[in-house]
Amino acid sequence: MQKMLGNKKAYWIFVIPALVIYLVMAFVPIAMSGYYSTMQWDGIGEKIFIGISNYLKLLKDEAFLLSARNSLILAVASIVGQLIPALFFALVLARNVKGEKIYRTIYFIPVLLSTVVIGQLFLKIYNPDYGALNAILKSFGFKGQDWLGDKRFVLASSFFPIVWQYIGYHMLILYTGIKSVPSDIYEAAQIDGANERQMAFHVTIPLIKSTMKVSLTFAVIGSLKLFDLIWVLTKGGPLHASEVPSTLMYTSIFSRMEYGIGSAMAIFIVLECLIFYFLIEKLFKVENITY
Amino acid sequence: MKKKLLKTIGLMMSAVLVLGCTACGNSGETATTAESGETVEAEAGDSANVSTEETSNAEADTESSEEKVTITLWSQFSDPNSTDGNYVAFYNALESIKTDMPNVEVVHEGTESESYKVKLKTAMAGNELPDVFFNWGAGTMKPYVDAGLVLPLDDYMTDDVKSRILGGTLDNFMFDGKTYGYPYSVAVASLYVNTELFEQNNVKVPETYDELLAAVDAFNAAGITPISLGEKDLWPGLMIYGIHAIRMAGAEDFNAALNGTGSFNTPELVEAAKRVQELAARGGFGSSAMGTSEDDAVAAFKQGRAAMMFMGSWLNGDCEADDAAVKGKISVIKFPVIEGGKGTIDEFHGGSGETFLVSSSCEHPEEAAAVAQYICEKMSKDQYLAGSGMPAWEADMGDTSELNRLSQEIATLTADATGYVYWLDSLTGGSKADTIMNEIAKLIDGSVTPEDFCANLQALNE
Repeated sequence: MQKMLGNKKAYWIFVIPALVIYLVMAFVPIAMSGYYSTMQWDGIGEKIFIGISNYLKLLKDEAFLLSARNSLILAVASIVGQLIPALFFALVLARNVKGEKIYRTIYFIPVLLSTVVIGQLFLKIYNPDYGALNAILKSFGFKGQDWLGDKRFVLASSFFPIVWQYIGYHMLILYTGIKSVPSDIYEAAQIDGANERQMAFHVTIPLIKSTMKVSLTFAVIGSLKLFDLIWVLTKGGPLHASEVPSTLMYTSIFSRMEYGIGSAMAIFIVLECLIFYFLIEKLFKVENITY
Repeated sequence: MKKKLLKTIGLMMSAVLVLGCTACGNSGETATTAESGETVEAEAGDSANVSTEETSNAEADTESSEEKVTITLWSQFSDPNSTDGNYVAFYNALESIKTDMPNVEVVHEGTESESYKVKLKTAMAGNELPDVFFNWGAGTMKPYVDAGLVLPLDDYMTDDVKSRILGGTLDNFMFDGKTYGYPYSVAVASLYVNTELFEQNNVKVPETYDELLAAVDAFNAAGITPISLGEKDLWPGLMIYGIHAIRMAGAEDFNAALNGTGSFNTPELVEAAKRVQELAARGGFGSSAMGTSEDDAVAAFKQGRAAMMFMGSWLNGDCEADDAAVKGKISVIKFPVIEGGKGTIDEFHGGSGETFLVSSSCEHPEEAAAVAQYICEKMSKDQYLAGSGMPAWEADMGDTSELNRLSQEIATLTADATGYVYWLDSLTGGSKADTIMNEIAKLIDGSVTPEDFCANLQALNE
């Protein structure tokens, strides 16, 4: 055993298969997208090298700028709308409340549902003719709205299910983090006379910072590269009002047949995700706590 | 350790993103079920893909197997059990080609429409096209022709064949004087009206544009959607704008504007855009057209919740379906003339634009061209009898008493047609089509002026 661990070649033999698959599946496509993004190409005919023109075009493209803005709004909405309720539920559930397992399962159900199912569900809820939301509003005497067809409401209406869907997911991550805090720390806090609120803010939260960072990273990156639910609900419409970069990338490549610009968007999303990832790394420097 | 894990996760997540847009082709065939002399192979992992392989009976095989030519065929007709007229006609042709052309063996693979487009593009990029494949004409087809991927069929198109093809149906398959495809249907858009709702509300079925506007007001007052429009899918708006432009500018001028030889900056086309915007502002499409999908719009019309719909003849089947509340109550009329416009009542939106193309890298071009011709000619008759569109080939239709009532009405309407403008998206193709669709959505939403709208469309020509 000692001999094998000392042998650097053995490391490589074990690492290489995974490394090759990873490089081929992850880095080659990114590199290819980078290459295509410098071309003017309809996907079939000849490629014409145009340098960074595609990127310059993106910076002037109103629809793209709107989509980038929307994805940042969604990132903020996810942090506020997912992480705060998730942390609250996790803190409550981890305190050995009655029916802990049942609640944990209930909160996790939306995560298990397929995005298309959730999309269809909310399409029905938002339907202006027979939707539940308008029916409720009307029964209270308010006017019904075209939730997904009106530029003023579409962003809020389509972001709500996205944010709602993953609350349970972050709750589970944070819950696991809280559960890994040894109980003797709480006992010590109790002996010192700390109440539940003080324990939450001064013991639990500081100790699960690294878990919270994982949640934060997932929430932000997930928002920046979101595609599925927006596609099911609105396809980016009406008039690009609910567009996010990945839906715009899809229409550019497959409807407009502009592979160059589409690839430039893909590269933008990759860079955006990486930048935010490193930003979160820098801003939330936490030491690893071992108990 | 956690840090490293996080870094890896971060990198992998961004990688997945890029992978998501590159992995689209699929291959690998499994699952074989044998029928008498026929093998059905379904592609693994995609239930929408059905590939049918026809092999002749065993005894015939032994003799002529060496002369038999295999022709691969791709289409968007993925479901052999569909009741859609085009599907029925296609599978009829696929069945009868076995006896009518015994020297070829046709291997068919059908993929559902949206995936089909992606699959075809992938195959083109990889130079793995089948011998014969379904495609749309005009602007959608042009990049393939420009890249030299499709075979001109002029050498195989004898005068005898040409004489059987109805006039004007080849226009969308011709580039630089060469013909690349045979037509199989002529689809026409007309105004579908729910006569029952018109009678119940004492509204006159519109013969002039003013009467159409009066009907819009009357139905809005009665709480019924006047014209059902699924603008969420963008393409339905093309039809509404298309017919207004045809009525205002005339088919000839509008076609010229679309293909770049004319201009959108004409008083007639500005007026057409203005009319569309006014119709929308008046509530012509109800209050929620922007958020309604085409499926929902059709459902609303089928259930009698909307009074009118301007749509292509593929709506015939839906209106006359057994589950439609409006069965027998629908009538088709010509879209009214707009006063002051150059267009006449006999100019139509639609035309012939779907076909089967032959790949230029095909090994047996003669047989492939024959297969394409056979399928198109056979489908022309059968899809008409199945109530889908008008025929594109001359044929003895036999007994038409069982024919869809609305198809017959449309055949009467178009008997004196003087001009056609084909569907704007297929006609222009690619980014141009996408821009036009988005501009029309803005027009309907009221966020662009008619003048700017025309200027933006004209910018595509320059």
